Amino acid sequence: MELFANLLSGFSALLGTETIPWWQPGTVIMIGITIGIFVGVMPGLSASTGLALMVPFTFGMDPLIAIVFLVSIYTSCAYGGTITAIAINTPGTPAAVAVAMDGYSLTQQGQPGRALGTSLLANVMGGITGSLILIFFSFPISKVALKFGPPAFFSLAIFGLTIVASMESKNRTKAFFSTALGLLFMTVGLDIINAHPRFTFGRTELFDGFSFIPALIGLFALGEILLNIEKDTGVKTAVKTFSSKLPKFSEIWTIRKNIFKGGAIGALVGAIPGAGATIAAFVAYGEAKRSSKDPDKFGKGSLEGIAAPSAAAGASEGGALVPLLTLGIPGSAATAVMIGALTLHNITPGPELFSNNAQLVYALFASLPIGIAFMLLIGYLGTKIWVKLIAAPKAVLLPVIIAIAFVGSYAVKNTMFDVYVCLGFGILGWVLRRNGFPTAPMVLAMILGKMAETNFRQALLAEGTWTVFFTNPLSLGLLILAFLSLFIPLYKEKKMKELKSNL
Amino acid sequence: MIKKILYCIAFSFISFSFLSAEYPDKPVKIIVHTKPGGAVDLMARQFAQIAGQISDQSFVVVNKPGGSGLLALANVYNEKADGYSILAFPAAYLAPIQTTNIGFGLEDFEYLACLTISPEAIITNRYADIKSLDQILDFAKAHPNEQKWCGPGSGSLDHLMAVKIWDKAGITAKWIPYGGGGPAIASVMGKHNHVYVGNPEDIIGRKENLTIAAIASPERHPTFPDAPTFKEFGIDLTSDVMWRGFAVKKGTNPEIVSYLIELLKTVSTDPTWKQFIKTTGVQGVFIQDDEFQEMVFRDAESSKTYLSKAGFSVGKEPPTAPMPVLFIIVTILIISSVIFYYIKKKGIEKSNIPFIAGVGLSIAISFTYISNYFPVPREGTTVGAATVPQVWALFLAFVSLLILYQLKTLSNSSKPGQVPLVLKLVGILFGYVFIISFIGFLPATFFMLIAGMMILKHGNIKTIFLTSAVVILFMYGIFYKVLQVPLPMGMFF
Repeated sequence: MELFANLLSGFSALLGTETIPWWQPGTVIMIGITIGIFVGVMPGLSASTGLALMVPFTFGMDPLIAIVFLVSIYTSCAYGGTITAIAINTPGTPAAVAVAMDGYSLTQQGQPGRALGTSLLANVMGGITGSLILIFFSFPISKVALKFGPPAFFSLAIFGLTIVASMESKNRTKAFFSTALGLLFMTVGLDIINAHPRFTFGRTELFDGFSFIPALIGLFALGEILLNIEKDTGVKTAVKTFSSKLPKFSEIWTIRKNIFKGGAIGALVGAIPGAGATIAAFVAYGEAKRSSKDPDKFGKGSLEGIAAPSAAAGASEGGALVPLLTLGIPGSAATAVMIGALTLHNITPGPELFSNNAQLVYALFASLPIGIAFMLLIGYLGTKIWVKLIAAPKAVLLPVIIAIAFVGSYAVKNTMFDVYVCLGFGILGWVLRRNGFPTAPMVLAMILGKMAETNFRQALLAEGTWTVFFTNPLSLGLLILAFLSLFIPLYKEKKMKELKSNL
Repeated sequence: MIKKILYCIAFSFISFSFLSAEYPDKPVKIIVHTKPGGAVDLMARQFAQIAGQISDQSFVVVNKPGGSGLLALANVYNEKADGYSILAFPAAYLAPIQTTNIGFGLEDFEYLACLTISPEAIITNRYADIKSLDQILDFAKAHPNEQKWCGPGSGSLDHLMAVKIWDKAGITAKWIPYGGGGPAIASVMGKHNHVYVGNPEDIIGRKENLTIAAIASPERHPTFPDAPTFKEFGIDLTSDVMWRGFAVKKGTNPEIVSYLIELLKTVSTDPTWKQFIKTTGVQGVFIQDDEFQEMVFRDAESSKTYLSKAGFSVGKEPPTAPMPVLFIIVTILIISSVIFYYIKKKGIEKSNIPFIAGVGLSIAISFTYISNYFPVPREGTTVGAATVPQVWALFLAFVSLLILYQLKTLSNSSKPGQVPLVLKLVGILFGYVFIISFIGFLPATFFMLIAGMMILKHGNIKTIFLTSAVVILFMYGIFYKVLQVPLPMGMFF
């Protein structure tokens, strides 16, 4: 019951204290949410960059207000990333790639409103699930998160990679081709164990490998634009009108299970430091497809395929706050900035925070649902604007997206090299996509490839034996899951084929 | 006429000296080698804020991450020595600059002052069996080369510190590198590794879980008085500190240098700065130019010694595969022509897919070729730098061959559309990225927008210009002004 008393004091702190005027927390949350959505929408601006740029503005604020402000930015970024994924097939965050697959497909059918509405609602519900899990189960989850050593992380990455098999049932060989290419690309750069430069061709810019965000922007935004220009005559669009009609309540009701499952997956996977929102979104997508009654609709604008990863992305934000608050360990680049920002306000996250600064922690918890409510409002109002924007003539819209994609690529590391990376991957994305090679598996491989190799080699270095991947229970469990997720879809299809041939 | 020219030259000299006397007369950049949010970045931002208040000019933090910090270093080295690009210079720069052949070195910088130091320390899990330095040493002696030490990176400051400790204490252990300090600390909290090498402030907020086994300073740390020093255990490690300071390019006007040193001194006594230093747990100091430079070069010597002890090649390039680019091109050409003949002979429907698979196969072969020259695995390990790329390459080769084998069943559903139009646009984009460095990001983008809209046949010229102008203004306002992204401005601005 102490928890509820604490929460209550957290809520009351948000209504103002002696040092904080009553209007301040609410205003700050609203501004934070708006900034967060904007940052998420702009390709190239990630949550971590957005947060770091806003930190100086918090110098003069009360620590509580500063934290609430930063957390609001942080939680709304994920939603911002899904907007562009759905509207123009330009995922603002890696996690949004999973949303783009079905979301953009629905937009092409002229129903961006339905896709955006589903994503918003799923994101909000996921966010609520995530914050509830954060509030009630922080400490037990953090204990599990610490159990993840190199062997378990390696197996988690392998499990994540096997989702490709269930994601793309039509072009499985082509999907694996993209996966392999992505895995190989990710080995470019200094090797983590020996610091030996691999495949850098003497360029210092490649020491840290291909910058991920410019590559992502290239593969999706630029690749999509080039494909669009090739397929379109420029005058006649396939769909003349875009409807801003939101999904019906009955539609949302039928996908409620996907939303809650996605939320739970997001909160749990998001809590594992380093794994993050992307794996969560893809795992949720794969699970939604596996359990769906209508798996053939996936990739063609299935609402389930939009809802599950959106919910997971929304919930993983809350999840990633678990290791941040309970252990002081950043689970992602964005939470690393949060730690830095909190330090500036004389607050050091970690187990001691809950005993030394309980009111602050619970005010943060209390701000999550309030922020989510604002996000629903702003997102709802925004949907109409987005639909209008994408209805602009393509001859104008496409060059503008290219310009923003390039400036976004530049902004990631402030270097022209990343603009070249964006252009190169853009052409690659076009060539692959026009020949039916999906690019989402490449993104997944690029994220998981590094994680798999690093942890594989750390585990071998530490234990000196291959058997550790099978003797560590967490690792073994994940490997079994990986095996199942790879072969069950194949087995199911074979059965289906036999059934059909018997008929 | 000659008089006129002389007059002009004289005038420009006067105005030049006038300008330098007025330094700084435009915003000063502080280059940071990490992404926003790192410890060095936060220090630079705090400094920028206070310095901006003192000097009337704004100080802007510019992040140039990448190349293990070398890109930031190279950035300042390639700028004019005019004092408008200051480099936040942490000790972390030493190792990468020594192991890479980048064409310049530590002697090409002017060291202004060092503002924070923190002694190196080893940290253990409070609830583990091995937590005190005695226990660490006993275990390591009983089990040579089995104890697991971790920290950020390979060849990093902390890695070299570990090697130094092993050397001085006469033990052997394993170094498990992590991508950053956070995950490494988590691994000690989760008892996956025994010892974390870092700094005492790393345990702030986690004192319930972590403990400092030993600190490499002559006396006990004022903030962490419970933590013993190495000296107390009879190990001679007293002056190993992680420092963070500021530097400019060598050849900067001495007046500007002394101005900046004075500025750094004022900042180091500022109450806001002192509060910030206190929060981060490091020690605030002010170590001026000569003394700072001495410290840099002394630590560089030590770094060199322990880099070679840790098995890194210092000063010479590691072996690389001869002519990698040529190899890739030739492989692609050979495999493509083989596929071309095969298709023609078998009469398979014309498509790009076999060629994409061919390029995949070529990349797999080339990467295997290049990785054959990577260093062999260290003693006691079976997996080296080449292993994982080669496994992935094998996977790629297998899938590529599978595609070639399945060619008939893989349908090529899409019909080619307006490929020439796409190629035209791609041409414009290549021209665009090419001219950015000459005429600046925003003008180049303006031209790209107009050219792009024109070839996509948007009829209304007025809309084209208006939209382009609005986009440029948006970029200038949001990215350049508000977000302070240092877009290349080219020769006109």
